[in-house]
Amino acid sequence: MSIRQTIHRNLPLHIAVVAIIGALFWLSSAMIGADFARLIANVGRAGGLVSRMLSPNWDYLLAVLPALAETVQMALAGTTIGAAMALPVSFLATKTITGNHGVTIVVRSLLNLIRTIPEVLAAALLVALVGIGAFTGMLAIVVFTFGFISKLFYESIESIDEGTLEAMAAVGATRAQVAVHAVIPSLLPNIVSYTLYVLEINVRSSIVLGMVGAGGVGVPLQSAMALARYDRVVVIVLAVFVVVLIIDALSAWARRRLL
Amino acid sequence: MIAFKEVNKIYPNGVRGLRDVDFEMRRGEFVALIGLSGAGKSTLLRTVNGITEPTSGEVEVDGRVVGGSREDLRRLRGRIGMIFQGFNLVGPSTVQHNVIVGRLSHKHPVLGTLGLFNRRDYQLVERALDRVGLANKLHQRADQLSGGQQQRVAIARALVQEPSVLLADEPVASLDPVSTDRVMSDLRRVRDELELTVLVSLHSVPLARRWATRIIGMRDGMVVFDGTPQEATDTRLGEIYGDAYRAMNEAQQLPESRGSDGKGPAEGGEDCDVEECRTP
Repeated sequence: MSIRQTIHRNLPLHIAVVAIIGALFWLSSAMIGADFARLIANVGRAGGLVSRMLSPNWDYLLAVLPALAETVQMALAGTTIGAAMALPVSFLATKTITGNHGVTIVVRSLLNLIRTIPEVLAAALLVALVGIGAFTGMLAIVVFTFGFISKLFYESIESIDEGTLEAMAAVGATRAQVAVHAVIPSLLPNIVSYTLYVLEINVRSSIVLGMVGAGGVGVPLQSAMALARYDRVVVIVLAVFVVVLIIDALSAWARRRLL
Repeated sequence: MIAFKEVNKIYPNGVRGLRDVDFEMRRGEFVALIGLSGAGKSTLLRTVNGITEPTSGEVEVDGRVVGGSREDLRRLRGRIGMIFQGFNLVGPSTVQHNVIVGRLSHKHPVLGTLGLFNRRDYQLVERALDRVGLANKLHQRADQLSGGQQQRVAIARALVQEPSVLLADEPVASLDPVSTDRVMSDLRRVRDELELTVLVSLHSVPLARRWATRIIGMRDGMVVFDGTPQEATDTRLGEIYGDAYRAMNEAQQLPESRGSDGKGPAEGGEDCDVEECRTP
């Protein structure tokens, strides 16, 4: 029996793909000068860092709380505005309701363009435009959320059951009515679930945004690192850790309730 | 009253959905359309409310030709209820919400879009649910109901349209025998009480005999039998359908094997592809 007749009929292809990935990995790591020995050799230095981090300055927690709250607020406001903007636009990005292929192509191209902008870059540009602060960070989150979540939204609009749409057509509903009374209610669990998922991402990424001056807990984190105040860094890191855990737990709970 | 006048349908892919379909239905008739998958039953039903447009010929409902502007079609569809094999409800919405959408074509489009229904709309919903025995499920999520209950919600949705015609596309193909009986008797009862004209496609000849006042048999897009349930004998249908008739009869000798997950058997190429069945 030849290999062609077995379940392993594509084995040569699979071997070739793995070989190519392996070659690419080797090539890339050689070119960026990856040296795992260096990682091991410097463990000693990490010891010093860890020991400094082991004595957290808890008094600093109180000082960092407002910045932490700001981070969460940035994420919440940015996610809400971004998702609210994305919902109508994602209807334009599918033929399901509009029946118009031209609009779909234009809207999707714009959304693709927005998605290519890395969030930190958007934040850095907005800092230059609007100035530093939490509002700028929120704007960056709006841009990211809008681009990212509209793709999730329009893909789920496209996956909606044809039968539901047909039934709505059969009762004589208009396009807007189909959207409001069939598509959105059908997708509500998805819409909420995706929005919560993006909220989780945004809480995390809004910390990084602070490091380019866009407000939130990233600002004190940045200065603590620059001053090598690892007793403060560890307090910030732990506080962020707790907040992320809480947000994740809350959104998991909300999702369970809804589905 | 429904009149088919020399109706033909050829799909863009060359498949002939309907060939020279020509018959009339009087008000109050309960017609069962029988035939194998692909015989043209679904296509025929969908020409009645204009979801499928005939290639030639025309369909009249209550003296008016099906077609025209989008607004004309919307008004026409408002008077024609339709139920489906897959129920086609909005799962996460409540029973009440699923039923009240049947009022949409009778309202100003803006009011309907905003969900501003009036007292009478809500009363119609309650009355319709009462008719199908689901008044106590008003605020339940539709996807929490059994298949048979979901189909009865779909019937209620059609009833609040205050229709003169009720179309049903394989309404019991996904249901167990008990639910099948309930749904068929609900259809028959609303026809009796509200004097609706009912056109139901069925796989099962025995069901057609039991519930319909008239049976129309289709094959390859053509009407090959048109008569009373008494005339639709095994011998007669056997002659018309040949070997295919045995398949039609056997198909529903085993309703249990279909399962009751509400999905039913895969429709192997039912007579319209998805693009065609959708509205513009």
